[in-house]
Parts: sequence; structure tokens; C-alpha cells
Amino acid sequence: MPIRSLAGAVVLRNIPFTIDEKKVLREMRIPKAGSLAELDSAALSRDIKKAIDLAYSLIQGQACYRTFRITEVRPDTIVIEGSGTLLAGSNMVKLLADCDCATLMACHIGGALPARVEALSAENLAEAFYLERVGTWMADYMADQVDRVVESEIVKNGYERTFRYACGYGDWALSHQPELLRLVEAEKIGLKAMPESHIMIPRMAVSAVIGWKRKEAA
Amino acid sequence: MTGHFLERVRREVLLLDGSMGALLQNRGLPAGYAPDLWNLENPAAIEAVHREYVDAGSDVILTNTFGASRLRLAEYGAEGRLAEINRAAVEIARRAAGTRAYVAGDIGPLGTTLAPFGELPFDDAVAIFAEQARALAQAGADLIVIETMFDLLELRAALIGARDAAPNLPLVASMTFTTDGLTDTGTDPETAAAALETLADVIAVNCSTGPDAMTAVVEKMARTTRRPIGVQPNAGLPVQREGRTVFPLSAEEVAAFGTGFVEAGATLVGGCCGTTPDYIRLLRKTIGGRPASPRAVPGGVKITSRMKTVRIGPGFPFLKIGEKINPTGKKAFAEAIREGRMDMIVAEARKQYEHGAHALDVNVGVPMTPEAENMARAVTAVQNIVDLPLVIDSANVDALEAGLKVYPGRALVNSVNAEEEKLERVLPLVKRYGASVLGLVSGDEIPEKAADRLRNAEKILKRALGMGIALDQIVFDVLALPVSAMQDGSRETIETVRLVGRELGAATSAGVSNVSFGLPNRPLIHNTFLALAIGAGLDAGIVNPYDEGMHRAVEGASLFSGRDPGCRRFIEIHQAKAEERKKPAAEAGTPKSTRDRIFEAVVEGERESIQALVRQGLAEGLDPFAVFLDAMTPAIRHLGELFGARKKFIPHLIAAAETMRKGVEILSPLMESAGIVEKKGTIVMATVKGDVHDIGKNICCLMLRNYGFAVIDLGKNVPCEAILDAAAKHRADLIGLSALMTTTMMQMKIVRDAVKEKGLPYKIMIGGAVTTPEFAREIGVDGHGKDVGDVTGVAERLVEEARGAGKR
Repeated sequence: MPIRSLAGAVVLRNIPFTIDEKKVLREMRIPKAGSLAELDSAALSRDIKKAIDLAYSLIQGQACYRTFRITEVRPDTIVIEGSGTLLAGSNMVKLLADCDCATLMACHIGGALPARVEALSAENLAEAFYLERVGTWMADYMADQVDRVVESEIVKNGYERTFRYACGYGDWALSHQPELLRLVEAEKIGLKAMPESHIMIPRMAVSAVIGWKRKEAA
Repeated sequence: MTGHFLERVRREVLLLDGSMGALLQNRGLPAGYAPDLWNLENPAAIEAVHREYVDAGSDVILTNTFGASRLRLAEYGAEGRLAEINRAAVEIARRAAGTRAYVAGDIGPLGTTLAPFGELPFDDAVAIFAEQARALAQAGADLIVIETMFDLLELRAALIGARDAAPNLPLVASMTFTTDGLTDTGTDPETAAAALETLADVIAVNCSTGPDAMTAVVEKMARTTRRPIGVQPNAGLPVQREGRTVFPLSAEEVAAFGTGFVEAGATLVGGCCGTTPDYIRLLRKTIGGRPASPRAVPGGVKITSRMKTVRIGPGFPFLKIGEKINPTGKKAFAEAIREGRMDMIVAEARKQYEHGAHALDVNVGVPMTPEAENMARAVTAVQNIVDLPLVIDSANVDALEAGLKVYPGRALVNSVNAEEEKLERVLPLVKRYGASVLGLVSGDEIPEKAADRLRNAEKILKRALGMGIALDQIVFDVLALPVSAMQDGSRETIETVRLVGRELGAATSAGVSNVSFGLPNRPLIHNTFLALAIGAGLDAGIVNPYDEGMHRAVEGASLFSGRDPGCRRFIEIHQAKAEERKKPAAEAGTPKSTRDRIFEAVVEGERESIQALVRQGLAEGLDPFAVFLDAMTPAIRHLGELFGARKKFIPHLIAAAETMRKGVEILSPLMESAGIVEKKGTIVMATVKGDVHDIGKNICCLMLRNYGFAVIDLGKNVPCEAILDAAAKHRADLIGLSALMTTTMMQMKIVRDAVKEKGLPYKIMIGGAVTTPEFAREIGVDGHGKDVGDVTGVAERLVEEARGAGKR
């Protein structure tokens, strides 16, 4: 089975999605309730439903990912064919030391939802907040969708996946964001990093790495 | 090889070959080198592999052309040699096969994703596949196998391209499923079979998993379609050993599944990655030449999305097709389409899905708009958010085709009728894209009599069958006419349902809302018509899913029309409703005062009602200060206590805060005109330089204002100097700083250091997702708010400290 993401960045647009009420409630830190119907406040239930309905018309999931062969494992860095500096940090080395390849990925939910949050912030903060939380969850959702596709490619080629390690977590500094986005050709999905802060624009985006771990090593 | 491939594969088991790549590597093909180039560079090696398979008993061998499309060859700079490579591959295979095996031209995926989910336009993909298929056909391949496909849309493009290039060759369409029984893009085996049966001659599964997971896939496909079924498992799921990919199952282990495959319905069996001639030899011994197993396949017209199949016909649940994505008579909806906006379409799609529609009609016909472009966008937008099959509805053939090109499933095209021009333009589209079609039983005019409508149906059917469109691709629309204007014609509509069902054995549908034009109480008319028509045998309707009465009419009528065996569905639905009714109603209790209702509105976050309640309270003589201090403030404090006790959560706080803000909008002018409103303290709030996330900070500002603070909100991305200037200008007690990123949180320290260096009197509190109490201590600020529920308490403490220390 040829590894299609080794040849170049794979771009996904119009990623199909559903918005799970339970996940949205968890994102809002409301424990226990499994659905909006279980909330004790009719007004809150109605408002969150409104945010979910609005989100359906605003979200446009897009992603790109690319796989690189690992060429060297150094004490503080994993060297891949495209970069000797990107995959840095002791956590990274621990994650990828037994891997033959690493898939870099980036995804976002489009610019319309963050823009609507911005606009709503001036008029109605509650609505802005609910929509923001839906969008935040959905950025993770999109990452999960890419994750599923990458995992399938990994398994088909006789490897096991590592967990998804996002840029900016642990000791993988956010300053690596621009290089990561360059390597996955994120400009194809309109995703870029702001200078200095390295915040991704559009907001509500995820960038990460997944390792291809040798099964015998797992 | 004797006999036509398709005739044989319908009645007996034929053996395919196994993997090619590993055997070529054993003969010296370097890792990473394109095997397709060896058709020219090392034909002897390719021929030797083919011979091994023919000797082992393969009835069909696949050419070494899996990656010999223009797009894949371009990776090696060999796209200019496409015809040469494919021709050589067929010739090599033919030399090895002689008269002992069929030569199948092999086509693999393009290595990219098709629009609208990826970048490659559908038409380009069709052309690329056609180019390779043409080369294979011209070189003399006996059939074409398109394999290892995980995207239904790409496979449909490949089949259309191959059919264009090689109209007379049998086509085998093979998808790859993961261990969870779905393709990578979420298609289940039934849906793959239903979507592909109108385009391919054989439907198959190959690669990705071992044989154990494939038996269930074969079973599901064989229960869905009458097409022959193929299967080519890997020799198990691969593992890496000493830097090599190894497939763990032996030939014996794979061959042990052979009988199961045949019993499940497969008649074309071979191997994929990791299998060798030994595997085929054993399979030959086990199942070679066996007769095809009998299969029971239910009838009905199938339509599918990428992920779901529904059937239309006698015995199946009545199919409710949502009618709401249609601009006719809807000004705002039409305006949205005119502006190129898809938001209203998406909203209607979700709402109809939630109201129980089984499929959705998509019509975007607005005069003076680019309908084809809008149809493609609408179909894309709708299938992004619901998995229901779509009915692509337009009088414009270009719009129909644009919708079909971005739709991975088997759509229902709405519609064709018996007019010559329509037949000539719409049916070829249905055939080319493998869709199903709604056939209106009208011609140049709408006939009143059922017998005349039947004649139109017969004309459509005859023409369709002549083009290779099967009866189970056609649903006849019996023409629901307005009963107010055409009472006799409406009776004939019911009769047409009976007649088309009885005489043609075809499925029927109707656009239900048409029946009630010009009459009051339209829902009653729709649902009465539905009950009568379902009783006569109507299989589907384009209906209003928001009408609960419609659902009830369908449920009831289904009991009397063989669509709900054992009344199970009816009982299930109505038992659930009975349970719902048993739940106690809200307590009536004694009437509450307006003050209490304001208190409750704030606690419950009733933003819509608060201003009316406040006005009512004022009209009843309540003092504005009393409303603020005795109703709203206690409410927000009570909610804070509930939050502390984990009985209410942040969204409740925010809803309440926004509700209070709306109430205070009414009160503020009155309180200000009545005298000075004392503020608890002054706080300058800002999201620090470099950071653009400020909704959390904005909510904190709202909470603080509701608690009686004067808040100066400087917004986001605010430099240190601007914060200090504002604090000086407004004589602030407290500076509140927010940051969401590790890269921006150090700006907080810069502000803190500047305050200390200049000996300024302000207290500083910080907050935001990445901040912690430890970080606050580390950088030497005065307080940390962990969330919006915490911020008012921290602010009250710090302002008190600041004022107590006499710093102002």
C-alpha cells in the first residue's frame, strides 16, 4: 500500500461533520448532562442549541497533512527528511524514538465562525461565548477526523500510531508553528501563524504530529 | 480463456491473482521504485510473475499498471509514457495468460482527493482515468479492475472515465475497508454496493485488512446487490519486522476463508498485499470452479449518500423526502441564494434531518442566478452536515449535472417526464452518473386520467430500459394535483399509484404539498391525501417534515399497507410518547411577584423576557434601585453560590450576566437621573500585546460591571504603555490582564514590572487559559482569576486591599 502522504501534502476540504451536544456541554464544563434536553435550564438549552445550529452554517473544516521519514534520533531532536529542527524537545524524542515516520497535520474550521464570535462579542456575550465553545470543540473534532485518516494509513502499512502531540504543548514550543505550517503546506488551506505570538489564523485551529511506531517496538 | 468473463463470474467462482509488488522486489525491483516502469525496463520479470499466477490457477490476472495513471506516473516524470507503459503491461500479461486466463487492466487510486473534499476537479479525474482505461482497452484487456479505492467519489469518477473509454468491457469496482467495516471516508459495504451497482459490473473489496474482517463485508454487499461480488484480502494486517513490512497469515490460513467467502456470495476471489502464487494455488484447490451460492437480495429503488442507503418500494418504510430546500415562494431563502449564501440551506437541512426526514430534496432555482454553480455548492454544503441521501432537483440539466459531480452517493434526480426533450437530456445523465430518477408521469401536458399517466410512465420506462437504466432506478411521480381545482384529477392520482404499481411493478412518489393549493387547513389535506395514497401503495413523498401530523399520518397508514410488520415501529414511537406524557408538568404554585420573576429571570438567564419584566416592575411602582439591588444583585450572587456549590456552571453565569446587562440597560438612565451611582472601584481590563483571544476577558468585564465596578475595557493586543496610560487616566484601582497563549503570557510580567518600576499604585490580577496561581506568584502579580466565576471575588478582594491601603 503506497503511503500517499509521503509524496506531498494531502489537502482535505469540506470535511463532513456533526456537532455532538454532549461534547459541546463538556467543552462548556457542564458535567453529567448527556444532551441539551437534560439541562436544568430551558433558556440555556435553547441558547446552546441556537449556537449549534448557527455553527452548522459557519463551519467549513479544512486540513492538510504530510508524512516525513525519520532519518535520525538525537538526544533532543527527531530529524525528519524535511527538517532537522522542528521536532524538538525531550517529550518529542520520547514520543517518536521508535517511529519510522512522522505525520505533521494542521486543520481549522474556517474563518466564518471566529468572525461571528468577534461580531457577537459586541452585541451579546452569552451568544458569543456559546458559539466560541462550539467552535473550540469543533477544531478538535476536525483534528480527530484527520487523525482517523492518518491512523488508517499507518495501520495499513504495518505500524501503530502514537498519540497526537500538538504544537505548543509540553516542551514543544509554539515557536515551531511557522515551520510546521510551512512543511504541511498550510497556505493551501489558508492557515498561517501570526508573527511573534505564533497564534494560528484563522483561530480555532490545531497543528500536531503523529508518529508511525514500529509494531515490534510497541 | 473460454466464455465471457461476466457470464462466468455470475455462475461460478473465478480466481484472481495475488500481489505483484513483493514478487517483483524478490526479482530485484528497488524499494520505492515505480513497478509500472518495469513493464518497459524488465518485462521478463513481470511476465514471470504473471506465469506463476496462471500456473497456480488464476483465471484472471491483473496487469502491472496499478500506478500507471498520468498523475501517478508524473511522480517519476513518466507521464509522457502512459500509453506505452499500459500497452506493454497488457501485452506482457497476455503472453503469460495465453488462453488460460483473462487479462484485467488494473487501475489504482490517483493519490489525491477529489473536489469538493480535496483539490482535483471531478472532470479532471474522469479524464485521467479514461486516459489509462483507453490505453488498457486499446491494448486488448478483457476487463478493467479499479481497485484499492477508499473514496466513493473517486471510484465513481474512475468508473465513469473507464466506461467512456471502454464502453464494452466489464468493469470491476473494488473498495478497501478498514477493520471497523467502513472505508476511510465512512462508507459502509451496503452503501458502496448500492452506489456502485449502477456503474460497475462486479463489486469487490480488497486490501487493508485480512480475510477475517472481509467476510462480513462480502455478506453485506451480497445482500444489497445482484451484481457478482469479488474479494481480495491481504495476508493479514501488516507488521514491521527488521525494517520490512510483513504480512503474517500463511497461504493455508488465508485459503481457510475461501469457502466462507463463496458462501457469503463471492465469485471472484484472489489475494492482495502479501499473497503469492501459493495462496492462489490453495484457494484454487478449495473453491476453484464452485457454483455461485444462491443469494436473496431485496428489491426496491436504492438511493444513497456517502454513508447511508435508503430503499423505496413496497414493504419498505414510506420514504419522507424533505421539501424545504426550495426557494419557491420564500423571499429570504431566494435572496440568500442570490447572494451566494448557503446558511439558510444548511439550516433547513439540519432542521429537516432533526425532524425525521429520510432524504432531502435540493432545489436552488432562482431566476438570474448561476444555478449550476449554486447547485454544486448547495449539495456540498448539505452533505457536509447531514448524511441523508439527496434528491437533486432542477429543471436545468446543467444544474443537475453539477450536483451529480460533487455527490459521492447515488442521488435521485428530480426529474424526467415523457417529453422527448426531457427524455433525451435527462436520461443520459442518469445513466452516466449511475443515479436513480424520478419520472413524472406527465408529457407535454398533465393528463387527468390514470390510464394516460400510466402510458407516460410506460414511455419513460421503455426509453430508460433501452439506455440500460433498470426499473429499480426509477420512481414514478404520480402527479399530486390541487384538489381545489382538479377534484377528478386528484382522484385519478390515487388510481395512478395503484396502476403504476400493478402494471409496471414500479415504485411511486408524490409532491404532497401540491394537493392543497387554494384551500384552508392545508396540513389536514396533505395528511388525508397521504393516508389515502399510502393505502393505495405510494412508496415515497416529498413532504413537510416539520408537520407532526404528517408523521402521524404516515405511521398510521403504514400499518395498513404492509410497511410496518407487526406494528413494531408504531408501538415503539407511541410508547415513547406515552412515557413522555407521564412526566409531571411544572408546578403551578402561587403567582409570583414581578420582583421574584426578575430574580428568576436573571438566575435562569431568560434574556428574552428580562426587559419586559423590568418595565412591568417599574410600571407597578418598583424603584429602579430596588430592582437592581433587591432583585438582580441577589440573583447574580445566588447564582455565584450555586456555581461555588457546582450546581450551576460557567454557561449559566454568562447567561445570567448577559440577562442582567439587558435589564440594567433599562435601569441605568433612571438610576443615573436619580442620583450618583456609586461604583465599587475602577478596573482597567486588557488582553495583552500579541494576543487576539478576548472573549474570556469580555465576559469578565460583563461580570464585573454587573457587580458594580466601573470597567474600562481596552480590548485585545494592547501594549503595556496603553494599559498604564488608561490606568492613570481613569485612576484605576486594579488592572486585569488576559492571555491565552504561552507566547503572550510573558507580556503580563512586562506590565507588572513597569508598574513596580514606576512605583504605580495599581493592583494587578491575571487570567486566561494558560495562566495559573503559580505563574501569578512567579511574576509577582496580586491575584489570579481561574475563570469567570472567580473573577468578581478576586476583584472585590484586591480593590478592598487597594483602597484599605490608602493607595488612591
